[in-house]
Amino acid sequence: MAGTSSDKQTFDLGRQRIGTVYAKALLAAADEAGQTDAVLEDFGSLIHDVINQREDLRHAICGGIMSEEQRIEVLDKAFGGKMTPVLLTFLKVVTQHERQDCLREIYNATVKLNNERRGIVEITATTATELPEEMAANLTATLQSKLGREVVLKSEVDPDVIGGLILHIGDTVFDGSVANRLKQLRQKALETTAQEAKASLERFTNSTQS
Amino acid sequence: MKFNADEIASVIKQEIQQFDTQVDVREVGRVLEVGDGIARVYGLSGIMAGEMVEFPNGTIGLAFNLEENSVGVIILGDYLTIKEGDEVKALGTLLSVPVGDAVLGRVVDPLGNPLDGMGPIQATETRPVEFLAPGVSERKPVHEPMQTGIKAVDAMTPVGRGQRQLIIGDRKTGKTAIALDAILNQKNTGVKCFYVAVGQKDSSVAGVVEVLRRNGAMDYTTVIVAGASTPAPLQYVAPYAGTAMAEYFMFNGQAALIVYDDLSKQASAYRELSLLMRRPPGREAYPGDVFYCHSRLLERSAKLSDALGAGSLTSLPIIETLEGEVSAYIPTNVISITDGQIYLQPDLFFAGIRPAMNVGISVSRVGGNAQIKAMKKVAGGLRLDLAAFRELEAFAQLGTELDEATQRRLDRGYRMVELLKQGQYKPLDVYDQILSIYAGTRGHLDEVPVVDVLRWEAEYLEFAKAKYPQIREQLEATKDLTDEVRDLMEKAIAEFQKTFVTS
Repeated sequence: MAGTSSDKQTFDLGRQRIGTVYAKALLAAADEAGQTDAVLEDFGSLIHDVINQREDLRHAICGGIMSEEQRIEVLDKAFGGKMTPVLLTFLKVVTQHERQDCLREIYNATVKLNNERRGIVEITATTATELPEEMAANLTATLQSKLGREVVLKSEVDPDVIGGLILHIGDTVFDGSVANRLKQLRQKALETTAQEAKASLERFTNSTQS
Repeated sequence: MKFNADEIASVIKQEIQQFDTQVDVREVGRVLEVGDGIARVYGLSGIMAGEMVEFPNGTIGLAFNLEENSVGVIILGDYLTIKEGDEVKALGTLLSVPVGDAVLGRVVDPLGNPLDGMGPIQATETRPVEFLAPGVSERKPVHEPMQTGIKAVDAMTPVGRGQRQLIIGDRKTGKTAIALDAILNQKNTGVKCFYVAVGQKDSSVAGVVEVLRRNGAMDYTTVIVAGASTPAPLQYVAPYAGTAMAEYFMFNGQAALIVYDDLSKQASAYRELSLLMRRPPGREAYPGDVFYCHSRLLERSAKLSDALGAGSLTSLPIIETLEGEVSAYIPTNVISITDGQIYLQPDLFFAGIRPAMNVGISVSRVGGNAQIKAMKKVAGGLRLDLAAFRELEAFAQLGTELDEATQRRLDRGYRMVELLKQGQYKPLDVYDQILSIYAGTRGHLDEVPVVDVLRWEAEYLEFAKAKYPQIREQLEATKDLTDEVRDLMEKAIAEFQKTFVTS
């Protein structure tokens, strides 16, 4: 999961901006140490396996109840030796600046920045039922050949789609879902029927006049 | 009339058979926050300023502010059913409204949706709401008259086709009445009229529509309504939408007249939007580009060159002042943009001088060229004479003994003021105006008591119409005050004076 950002899209613009700033710094530091992939993997694991899973741990790491020294101590005890030193130092810096509540945004921004500079495109595919592994692989391969860039596919399930596939590439949506087609068909049918009804009305009134 | 169910079913069936499946490609964003007619949207990274977006409930929005991380959207319609997190779709087009003959006689909202319950508007064409004004080489000077049918206006501050003439004054001084008279007077002239009501009570707008309908003016008029209860974005867009509809006729070689009632409300709506969008406030809390907001609107009124069909768009913007304060921000802005102003004063209005035009500070910078020759000769010095009379009148109130010449000038002034009074919704033909103003300025009314002046005028016009139709015929033919016409008029007045009985 190192290639995809956190599932929940957050809309706090202020935090996102902070996240981008810290992400740039983290990536630069990781590059210098030559451990970019390891740092990203560790960071991903921290977010997905620890912060997102355990409420109490999230409070301990991201919360502001403890003093600065205590927080740094906790970080040292919990992650010392298990984590790439670059990331641990980074976490300490973040907590020193009292930005520990923005960790998730920092992670998202880091992944996004890293993907951007490596030319990786993150694509979300929404389907009505779980996308079979084989099909997902197929889709990834097709998209990769079409776009000429490496693709990370994220799969989402939404029964409202009914059938077909919706692809989100950045802000652009390619909608080939049954739901959307039904909507279009309904609109088209309504328009034509209204037009036809009006035309027949006109035919009726005109014929009485002549 | 009954519909054939089978027929409709077959239409739908055909539609389904022909429906080709295409992947729908769209650019989207998500609503971050919404309220007060604006929304902040995350995403939509490729959107351009002024582009239309669509919300899930079908409401249209306009990209107003493009920021680093979000897009500020003004919502043109119902914003109460839009929720945080809703998907916003970029439509890739600019806002446009239906135009053409189909909109005439209708009451519509700023998006061109009918409000009069007379069915959908069957327009074949649309025009973008924001449109660049014609440039220098596409115009020609204003030279044709745009008769308003109001003696005081047509004689002293004449309006030409393609001119922008501001109507300014306090509340309840008859601003709308002047604009309405101007619309009523366009009957049988082929001028298409547009009345844009911004931020007004819906009851007042209903009253205006009723007046237009009763006087048969709705046949060539469109009323664009963004009432006081509509959200600020629609009030802001309304004048541009109305102009787009009117422009269609201008670019097709026809003449159009548009009334913006009133632009101070539109400025307030724009201020509201800008403050909500966190644009920095300036003087009177208006944003920095409020001048541009009005100038780009009024610049679209023009007289087009012959190469472009010589169409014209005349505009009568209305500005409401507070306590006669013309040096406030919006009034000074609009005064400097327009080609002249008609200034209405409450004290004149309550003194019974209606239209309550203050001749001293009302001007028309280009209209003089547009007056027909006869009117120019008859009313040439009238405005300055009346302004001088006002000064003299103030002086005479001191109660000093006046010499005979001064007294005569005063008497003439009183009668001219009386003669320029005119009832509401009674626009007067320009040739009738020439007849009565000629009588006034040449001193033929000096012996008539002031209270009888209006009666004298009405009876004289009747008399001239019945006994001397050749005056009017010659005026219509030459549009000039020839010696022949002058002699005829003198003769008619002399003959009429004998029969007139003072009360």
